[in-house]
Amino acid sequence: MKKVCETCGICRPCCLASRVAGGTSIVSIICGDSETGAWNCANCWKCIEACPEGVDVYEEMIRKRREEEAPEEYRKKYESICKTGYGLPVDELNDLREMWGLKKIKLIDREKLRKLLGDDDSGDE
Amino acid sequence: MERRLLFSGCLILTHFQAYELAAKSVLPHVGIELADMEEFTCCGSTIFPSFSEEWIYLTAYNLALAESQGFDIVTLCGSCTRTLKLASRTLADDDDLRVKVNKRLSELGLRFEGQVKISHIIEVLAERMPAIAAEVRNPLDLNVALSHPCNVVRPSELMQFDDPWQPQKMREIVKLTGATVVDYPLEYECCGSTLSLSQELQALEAAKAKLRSALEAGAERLIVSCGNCYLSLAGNQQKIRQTDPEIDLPLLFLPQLLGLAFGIPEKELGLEL
Repeated sequence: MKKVCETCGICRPCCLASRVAGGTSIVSIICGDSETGAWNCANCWKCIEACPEGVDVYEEMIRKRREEEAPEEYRKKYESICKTGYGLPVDELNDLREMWGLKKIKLIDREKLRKLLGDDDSGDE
Repeated sequence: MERRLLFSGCLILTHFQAYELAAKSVLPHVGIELADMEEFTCCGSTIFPSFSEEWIYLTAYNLALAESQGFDIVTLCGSCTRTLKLASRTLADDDDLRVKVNKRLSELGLRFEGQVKISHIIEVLAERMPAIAAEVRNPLDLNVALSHPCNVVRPSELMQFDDPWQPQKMREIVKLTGATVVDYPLEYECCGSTLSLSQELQALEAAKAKLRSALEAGAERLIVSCGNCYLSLAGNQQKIRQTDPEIDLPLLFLPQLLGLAFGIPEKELGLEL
């Protein structure tokens, strides 16, 4: 059964984003006193660890984020994953690997990625 | 020698080849050979799930890919570790979702059965302490501070490894090298790396505070075992020094430190290019 936040505030002092980003972190939202900032999270999960009710802050955060406008850096990385399969540029990757003495690596091709992310015409979904 | 697949993730793949190289050089000394995981993709991290439910296909694909080759996975970043473990558990617990995911994976000739074990490099090393001790040829005379990857230990109900508030396994491993581990007030604080995606200046402040705390405790090197920690705590130093020139603390990835103690040449540890 889904656990509900009792707004006890125990998670607040644990939250890096709340302390350094001005109190608009995800824990503030879950505690019910902010309408913005579902993206302000360091992903340290101390809030989940601290919560006496066992609220899945991660799930709540993800749900709220899908309703909100995303910061540019998040959107860029998401679009990159959709396009190439990776969140960061991989264009000159194998040249770099060679320089470090690492073997070349085969990356996922666009066709496979398209099938995987379900935007093909197979009627899946 | 046990063979495992290296899931390096986007950050190590594109930025921190030195970490991959050091891991591949060091792990054979404790009985693990790391093979490349061809055609792996981003794990999705918290980025993909923040936009789409489709994240599970991306993560399941990587697990099924490893499963098709019959080897367990070793990770080098915290976030990849948590995401892969979350997907593995989600799919094991949800029969309907597993059927749906496997339907799509079958188009790629893959299937998720939940047979692959996912271990971060700290977990791998922590299971091999006697082997590490036996490999130390050059005990290190160095004061080091540690930065622990949050996502390897939290949330503890998922990760089931080490103390979720004050992780100790990395300390136990590092102590075997002869290095002195210095305690510092912000040791168990997050590096703030992911915060930079939404709050760049605040993330910089978090990194600065952590670095200052370690320096004031007398650290000569900061040891990390996550690409995000390195990105935040090494990548931000140049920027921080523009206003705070005293913030100068070189970082080492955990296998680089072990490699130095094992007497592995610096070039094989990514310490000289």
